[in-house]
Amino acid sequence: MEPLILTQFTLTSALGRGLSDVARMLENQKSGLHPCDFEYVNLDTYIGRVNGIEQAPVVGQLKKFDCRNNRLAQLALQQDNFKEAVEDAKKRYGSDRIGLFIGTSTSGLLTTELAYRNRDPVTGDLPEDFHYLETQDNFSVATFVQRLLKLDGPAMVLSTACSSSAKVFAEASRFIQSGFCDAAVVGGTDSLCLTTLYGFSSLELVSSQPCRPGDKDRDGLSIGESSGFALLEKPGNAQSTNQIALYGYGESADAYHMTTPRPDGSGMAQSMRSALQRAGLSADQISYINLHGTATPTNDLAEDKAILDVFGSATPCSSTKGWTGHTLGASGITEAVISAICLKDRLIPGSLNTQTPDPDLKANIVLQNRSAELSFVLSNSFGFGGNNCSLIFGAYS
Amino acid sequence: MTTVYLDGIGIEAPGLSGWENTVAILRGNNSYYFEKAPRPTATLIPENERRRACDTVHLAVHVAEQAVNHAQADPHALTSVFGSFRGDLKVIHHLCSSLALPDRPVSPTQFHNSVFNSPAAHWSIATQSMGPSTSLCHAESSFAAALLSAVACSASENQGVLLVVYDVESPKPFHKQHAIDFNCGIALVLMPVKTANSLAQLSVQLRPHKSTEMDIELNPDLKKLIKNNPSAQPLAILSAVAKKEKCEIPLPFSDTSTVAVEVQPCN
Repeated sequence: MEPLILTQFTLTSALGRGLSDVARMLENQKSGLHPCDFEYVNLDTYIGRVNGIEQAPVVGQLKKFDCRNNRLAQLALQQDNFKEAVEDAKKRYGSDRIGLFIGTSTSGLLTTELAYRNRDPVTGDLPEDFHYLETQDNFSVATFVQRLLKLDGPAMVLSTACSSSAKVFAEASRFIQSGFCDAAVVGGTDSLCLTTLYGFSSLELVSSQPCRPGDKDRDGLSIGESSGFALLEKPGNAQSTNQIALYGYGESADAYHMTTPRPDGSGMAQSMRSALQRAGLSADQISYINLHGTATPTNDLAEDKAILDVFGSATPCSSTKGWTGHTLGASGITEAVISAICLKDRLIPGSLNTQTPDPDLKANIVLQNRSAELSFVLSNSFGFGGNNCSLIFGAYS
Repeated sequence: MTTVYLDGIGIEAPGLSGWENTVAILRGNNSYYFEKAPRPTATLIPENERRRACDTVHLAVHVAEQAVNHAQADPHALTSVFGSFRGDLKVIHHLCSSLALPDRPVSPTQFHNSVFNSPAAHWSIATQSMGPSTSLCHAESSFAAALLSAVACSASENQGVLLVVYDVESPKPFHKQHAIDFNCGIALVLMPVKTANSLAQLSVQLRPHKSTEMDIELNPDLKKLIKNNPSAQPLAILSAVAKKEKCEIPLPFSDTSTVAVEVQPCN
């Protein structure tokens, strides 16, 4: 495929607001995870929470959209001159020629969870101030971002659980290639809610400690929240100093189980191979793999088998979920942005929190940060239902 | 303008069950009666999973199977695109009801059913299809968005696509929130090139002007289905296919755009 330039990108997560916070925390190997203090959740777990969402309501004309998820998207869009980059792109393409593709898994579900405590005792109706379309509906975040950025191109929300905001890159590529738009804003936003905290706990997939990807004692994930965006353009049209590009994407389905990955990793391998093929690269041209690496026993083992099958045991890899937690539907964009930062800063991040690597994992899991010239980085995102997506980023010259 | 070929159709809606029954009604050979039927059971899903599967899963997988059989297509060779306005609010209702209780007893089954891509995942598991699968939405224009996604995939990757849209009856607490009061699922198998099974050519274009409603000739009762459940919107295309009439269908997409579908029946 023809590469697409990431003219501008941004990320707000437990690591802070904007790219400089992410880069600093990565460099200092400082995690954004802390003991769960969300709502009055009584679970023994760590979370990657974004500070200050409570103090940043959506006000004015869009105030019906006020919910944790849209607040987080609003915060993210205020960083790294992202809005200005979109304004600039609108001048070049027209607002109707810029597509908008956003991934979310739970949208404004927290608002519904809270509204259920205030249902009418007689009729069971939800309260009058509950705005379904603007909060709970899965498309809410796209309408909200579309209005904030004043974009008129084709828009959609992709919701394939934890691969949602990786797949937005694939979808945007197809839309641009098919001529439905000339450029695209892609991104993802997922915010803390009770359903995911209690739901993952009910499946016994949540750790009582900060998650330890690839560790022999890993016992589950830490849930986080984040929002990130990237502006994608064809080379030649892009006016960017970043010059990081998307070179390939791959997608597959495990066709195995709703909550457990196919144990031999063949679905994940198919996704990575498809990304390499689309990028026209061989496995040995990938300098670093940002793993999905949730720190659940089954994910890390299946992903390891897939990596071994496609890349062998030499390619450096690590999961950065020890920094951000698993931000679910936003993990794709989160790790896409981290991959871009790694490319720019020549950084292979170590697997934060991993103490003793699991001897059953054969891939080259990097434990400490190190500097390296990176040509191409592959980022994996795998979702419930076995929905897999792999992205390849590289410096563009 | 991007072109695909419609090779197979699956449908379950009040008074419309399967293409054979639907085509007779759309042609006017049989009368249409609005009659809610029980939610179909997706027998393709293995028995142990079937019991735990939610309404959207059963509906979507059932119509997907109809469409793939109708097209005589190999499900392994198809990318899938699943679209829905509401997803499964009954599952959300169960989860939120549990979370409103003091000890918050969330069911793991309800939790895994709550992911929006649950129908797509059950389809891939039931058919052992490991190809790419997307689940997406665009409020009441989710069919238009799914159609764009499907034709973009078909055009850029020369790929056959299974497109499924589904929306089910809303649970009671949501009845003031743009409620849907009947189930409707429609599946289309779309091919990048014409085959022996092609029923119609669909040429899809994104136009930069707004359409307020679907200006089409259709039985008023069927128009009502479209009005009351966004996943019934493909009926406008299916009507032209049934009558073997060439026509253009404007699908409202956003405040500034329309997805125009030109239907050209094959023979």
